[in-house]
Amino acid sequence: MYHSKQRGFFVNKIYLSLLFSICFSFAFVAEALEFQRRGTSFLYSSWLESLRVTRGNVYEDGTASFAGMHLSQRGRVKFDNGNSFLIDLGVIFGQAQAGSSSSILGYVSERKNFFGGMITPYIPLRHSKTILFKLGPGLIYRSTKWLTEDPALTVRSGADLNVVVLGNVEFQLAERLYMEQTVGTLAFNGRAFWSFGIGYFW
Amino acid sequence: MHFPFIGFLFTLFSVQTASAYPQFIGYGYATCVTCHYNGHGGGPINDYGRALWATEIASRWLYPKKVSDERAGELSGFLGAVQTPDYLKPHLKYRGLWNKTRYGSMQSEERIYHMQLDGGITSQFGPDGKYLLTGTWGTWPIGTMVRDQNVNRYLAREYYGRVNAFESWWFYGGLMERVYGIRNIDHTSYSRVPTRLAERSRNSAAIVFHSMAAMIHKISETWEGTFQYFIGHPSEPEDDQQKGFSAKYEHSLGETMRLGASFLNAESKNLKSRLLGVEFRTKIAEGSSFMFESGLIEDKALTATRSSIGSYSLLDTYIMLVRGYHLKLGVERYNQEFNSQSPDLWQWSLGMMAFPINRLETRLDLIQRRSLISNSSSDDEWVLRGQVHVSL
Repeated sequence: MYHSKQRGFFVNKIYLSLLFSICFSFAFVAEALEFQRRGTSFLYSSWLESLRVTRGNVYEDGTASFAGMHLSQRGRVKFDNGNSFLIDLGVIFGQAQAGSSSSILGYVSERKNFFGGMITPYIPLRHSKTILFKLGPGLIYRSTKWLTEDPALTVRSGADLNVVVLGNVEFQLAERLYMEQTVGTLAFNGRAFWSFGIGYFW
Repeated sequence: MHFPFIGFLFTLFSVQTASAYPQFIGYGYATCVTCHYNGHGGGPINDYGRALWATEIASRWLYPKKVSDERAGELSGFLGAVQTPDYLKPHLKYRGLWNKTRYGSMQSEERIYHMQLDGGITSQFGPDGKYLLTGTWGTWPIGTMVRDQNVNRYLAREYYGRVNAFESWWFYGGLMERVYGIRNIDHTSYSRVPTRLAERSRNSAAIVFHSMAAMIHKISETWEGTFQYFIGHPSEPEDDQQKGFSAKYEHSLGETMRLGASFLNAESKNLKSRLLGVEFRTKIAEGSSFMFESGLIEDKALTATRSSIGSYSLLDTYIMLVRGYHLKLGVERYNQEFNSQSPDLWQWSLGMMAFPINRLETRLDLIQRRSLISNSSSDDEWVLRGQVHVSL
């Protein structure tokens, strides 16, 4: 189901509140792990969003694909009682495509630049000294405006601010070098999200 | 009532063979010749490989508690504890696949494929098995070779002779797999299909990744090098038979870390192709590994005026959760040509690879395929795939 931009913003506010409530709940059960050091990751990320192209009373659904680089800083939030959780803060930039020339309304947008950010609190689950599983909901914001030459055409995809639910595996290749892979999904008007790349422990 | 069933399973599977994989570097085994008759892996495994599978790889959950790892190793031969002579080492294998394409959509299709059903014998002679002959024959249940309008479902999968001429030099001749890159068993992988290391022949559904070949393989403590000359599969249509050579080098960066490169040049009457790739494998924890391969593919069809150059990449991570059970994460990318009109094809997989009892392997993978191209956007395709591998 597609949300208008205004409704999407309101709904996202609710999700934002829910997200942080969940994060704080998790924080009290998360284990503090020695493995969780500060790190910087350089990742390639991609996700799809639901697209709706509207002209008057006619609309057509499709997809918009996003792909780009994701620079992320990882840290650990500790509490006095010894509990902690990990948090990833990052910027995402890249290019997006929307629509298809074979569609009825024929809307296509090529190589549209986008810029955004992402925040993901993770619950860490330690597998071994060198492997860490992480699970968490996050928030992703991306700024993109689909341009049309036809003023009667309205194009919307996903939501500027969206919730992502992610699973992540991080493993060390060397003392300070690590790799990570993430799979998940956008919660609203979106599809699968994934990223992978390398990182460095500080 | 429980024990007879467990006992039946135990009896059945304690006499089976299975394949070993490049990801077993996670167990500390960097080279394939430890467990395989073929120094590059694939095909039947030797007695040591059978025992290792039973004592280190397979889960213990379905074994009666009184059976020790050592005893499981003793029972891992083709006839269980009865050792056959070196000149008579039989093997049998079945691999089945259940595939559900476009999972979650109205166009979803479900099929079961019997990918492999074959058997063979390996004979070793001379001191330390210096001379070896092996052959594997069987049906290709979904694959039928068509040549000269004759359908042939019963084919030799491989047959070759091997001589360990000097201490670390191995010479091979016969029908065998081409040597290039990481020998990934997944024949739908982007490191295997566009590279034609596991391809479907033009006029048939047969998966052809073996060629008549001669090969030299040098294995030292810190490096491995191979040169192979091949002339195509004898059952393929003549126009499709690829002739050429390949070379591969792997260097140890530690006991459980390998960096390597491969090159392959092949030519048939329809197509010329060249491959150049780099590879990396490492242990990341006990039983867990990470593998990376990336390369260039140059193809020139006979009728084309110019060649196309594309690329592929593969990242595979295997994480042992408990003994016998592994989580698998895969990322693959393929681009047929370096231009904006050629889509970036991505394939993500999340799955489980399990060895619930000695020599039985099961897999379950959820695969997501995404095509990224600058002038359109299309929805993802999801595939659900299960596999069972059994050998007697």
